[in-house]
Amino acid sequence: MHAKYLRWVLMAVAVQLVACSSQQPVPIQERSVDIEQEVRQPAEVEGAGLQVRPLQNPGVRELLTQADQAEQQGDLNQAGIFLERALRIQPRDPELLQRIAEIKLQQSNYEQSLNYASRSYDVGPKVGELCSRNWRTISVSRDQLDDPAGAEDARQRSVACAAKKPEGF
Amino acid sequence: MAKKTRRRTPAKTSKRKSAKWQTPLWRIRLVCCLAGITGLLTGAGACWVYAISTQVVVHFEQRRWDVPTRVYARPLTVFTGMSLSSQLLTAELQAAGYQQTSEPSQPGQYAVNGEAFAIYTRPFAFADGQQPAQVVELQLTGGQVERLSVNRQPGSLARLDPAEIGSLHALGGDDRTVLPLEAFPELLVTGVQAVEDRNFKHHYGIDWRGLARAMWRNLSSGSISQGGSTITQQMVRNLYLTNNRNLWRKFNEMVMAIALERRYSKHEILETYLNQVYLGQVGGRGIHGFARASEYYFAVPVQNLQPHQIALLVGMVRGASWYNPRRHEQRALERRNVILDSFAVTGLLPEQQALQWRRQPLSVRLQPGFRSSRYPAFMDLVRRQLREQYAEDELQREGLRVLTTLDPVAQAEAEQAASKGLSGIERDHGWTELQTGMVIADPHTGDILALVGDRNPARAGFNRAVDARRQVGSVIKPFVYLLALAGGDNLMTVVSDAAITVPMPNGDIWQPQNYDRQNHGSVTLLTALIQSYNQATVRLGMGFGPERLAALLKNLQLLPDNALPHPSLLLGALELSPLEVASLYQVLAADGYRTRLSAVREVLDTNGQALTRYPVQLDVFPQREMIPLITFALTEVAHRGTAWRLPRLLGRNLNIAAKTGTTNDQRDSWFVGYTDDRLAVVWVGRDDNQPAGIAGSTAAMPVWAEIFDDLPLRDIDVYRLPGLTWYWVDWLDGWVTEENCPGAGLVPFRPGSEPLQWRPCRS
Repeated sequence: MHAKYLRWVLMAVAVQLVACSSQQPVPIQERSVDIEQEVRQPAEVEGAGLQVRPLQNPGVRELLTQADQAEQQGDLNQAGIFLERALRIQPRDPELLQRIAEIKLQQSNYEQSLNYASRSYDVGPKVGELCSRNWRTISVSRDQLDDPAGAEDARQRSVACAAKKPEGF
Repeated sequence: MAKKTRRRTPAKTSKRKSAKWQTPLWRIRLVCCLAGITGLLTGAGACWVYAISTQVVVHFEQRRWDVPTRVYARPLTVFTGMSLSSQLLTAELQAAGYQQTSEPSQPGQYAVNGEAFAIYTRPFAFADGQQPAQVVELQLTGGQVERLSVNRQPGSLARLDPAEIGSLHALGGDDRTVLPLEAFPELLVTGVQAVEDRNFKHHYGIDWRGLARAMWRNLSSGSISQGGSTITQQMVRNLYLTNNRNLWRKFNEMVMAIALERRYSKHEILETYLNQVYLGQVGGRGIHGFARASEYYFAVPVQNLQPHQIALLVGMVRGASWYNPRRHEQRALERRNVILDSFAVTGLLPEQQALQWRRQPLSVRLQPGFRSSRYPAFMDLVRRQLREQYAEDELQREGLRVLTTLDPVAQAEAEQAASKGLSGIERDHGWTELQTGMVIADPHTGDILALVGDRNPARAGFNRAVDARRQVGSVIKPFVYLLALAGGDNLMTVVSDAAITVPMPNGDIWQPQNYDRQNHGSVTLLTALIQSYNQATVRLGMGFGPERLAALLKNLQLLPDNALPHPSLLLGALELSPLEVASLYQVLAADGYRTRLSAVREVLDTNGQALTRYPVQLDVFPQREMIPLITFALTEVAHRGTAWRLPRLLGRNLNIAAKTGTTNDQRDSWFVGYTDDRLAVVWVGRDDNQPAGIAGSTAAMPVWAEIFDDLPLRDIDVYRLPGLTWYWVDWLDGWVTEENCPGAGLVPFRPGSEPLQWRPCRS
């Protein structure tokens, strides 16, 4: 009787151990990003005023529309494929690069969202809504990549997008 | 079951016989013996039948789904405003196996009227969905796409189905495109049965009546010409790839045919047959199945075959090489017409139509719709890249589709430059045995658009673009200047080009010299770079230390982690392949955003589902903010530096970032050039690494120009390079001056490192 009891205890301990060892370490700050709340809507407010919109190739525009539809249907992969096709047409289109950054952000690919947003900023107007979306994306990405100081710095720069005149003006 | 029969039969027989007849003992023994032998034979026979039946089922099962991986070029995307000449578009369409007609009536055809194109594309499953066949109309004007429409709807974007550039096979494997039975045209499915096996639906693998008829004809003609084989028997023969017609084989064939019929439905057998039947040879590989044959002979999908084309292929089943339409046109035509008649007789085709189709020419394309191993160097790279993720077996059997980055037109230009360009240079300079490796890439996406690994591009073997590692020489210099700029210098910083002596760690002394053996005194960084001065470069590099350059190269994985930062690294004492040089310069050409150079975009399964995608991944290069300055300087290399002859060779004066490279004793000649959207690296040298007497500007640069003289080039708009401010400076000493001063030029600076000294015009 005693032996049977001991066996049950041992089994319970073993089950607990297995459960412990199979538990994945959970990153503390893992969360999904709401692109509208965290990037697009505030950028619209923040970046109001002077806007510089580079001319866009109509082919790229068509692919952006298709990417929009895919994104609205929740198919981020498909949206990414459309955007990459557009990238092959116009690799330095800042709006396009930012859109890719926003898809990567929603896919929790923070390193790539950071890099695409940074590339968009480099070739972009550095003012207005797009500038603000660039820095907000960078800020959220840095936050997720455990760089709170960098995130805060980017947040400051996104605010400055409205006030700042573009270089060369 | 077979074993049971063997044991029972003799026992039963002898028992029955001994009970009814009183016979002498020897007779009983004889009968027993005979019965035993018969039993053994029957048993062995049954075993044999069982064994070969099992074997054929296994083979059949394997063959049904054993499909090689197909490899495609990148699809051509056309959009309004795109640079595209009719010549390039025609080359593109021909590479993709399109056929020119006066009025495109089926997929795979196109028509040209002046600069107006009508293209009937073929259906294709892309990663973003199935694209049906569509009519794309394009109006080109002055080398640009002015208007386009898709299925008569005006639009701004269209995508053509890509050219098939090869397949990955098992050793000795066959070339097949496998389709379900429903995908074959009705006339083909019924036509094959009408010609090869009219009783297919009703027999059990063997058609006794057909066999008797064939035997009668063979007897009366005195030779074995009529096989009388059913489709199932032919299927078996195809599985074992033998045409041996002796009786034993025939017997085995019949047994296997019956076995297949017992195991599989008519539907499955016919489907496999249509996908498996032998219809020709390309190189060492058999063309199997009607779908593949349709692509090979007519460059159209099997669904789009017309009745006379179906008749030809059906006729070729009897003897694919005997009736080869490319080699024996008349014979093939006669055979086709016999088949058309038989279609009419059996009511598959109305008499009148059959007559009409009889009058048509064979309409076989002279060039096969695809050619295997047309791009050995590129295919080699594709294979290497795929091996990182796929087992060889998966690639050879699972019918995957690989969408690559190859641009067939750029590849054709590069190949032509390799063969003709090199011969021309050898003739002009009296050099011999030169070899080359080239890479053309899109620096923003990392797509490798063209790759040449041999001056004879059709020759497979040593892939110089990937495997020939040679000293890069001055090709490294822009990175020395990049580090100097990152350290606070600007392009107008002055550096001494006087003779320099560098003590080495081992006690030796290194005294690098300029190419022209002259000292050029005090020069700006800009001049030192565009004239490729060695002494100034080493002085600059020793200022910040060669270990910084080593670290940069290690970061790009172009230098082993344990390599010592030798000062000679500053002058390119480092061996890289053309592909590695391309990945080095990709960083510059893409404004400091690194991406991996790749030959593959995606791998799809047979249903068009993406198995692997290679998305464009960006990495930020540490000194990226200085890169626009380097790009500006390199465009000056092609205006007044070591590549000043480039505009003349190209016949166009564009802003192209260029760098030449020549190594010790003129063994290697390098040229790297990038535009707004293209990067190309050319190496020329000898395989034995002997002095070739060549310099970057005399061998590799003309080849580079040869590649691009027919390709559209988007030149670099230096004034739109990101993050720069521009000043009028005196070109010689770097002082800020006024616009109208003699010797003044616009030079870019990074904010924060602008020049401070200003002065009026020099008198």
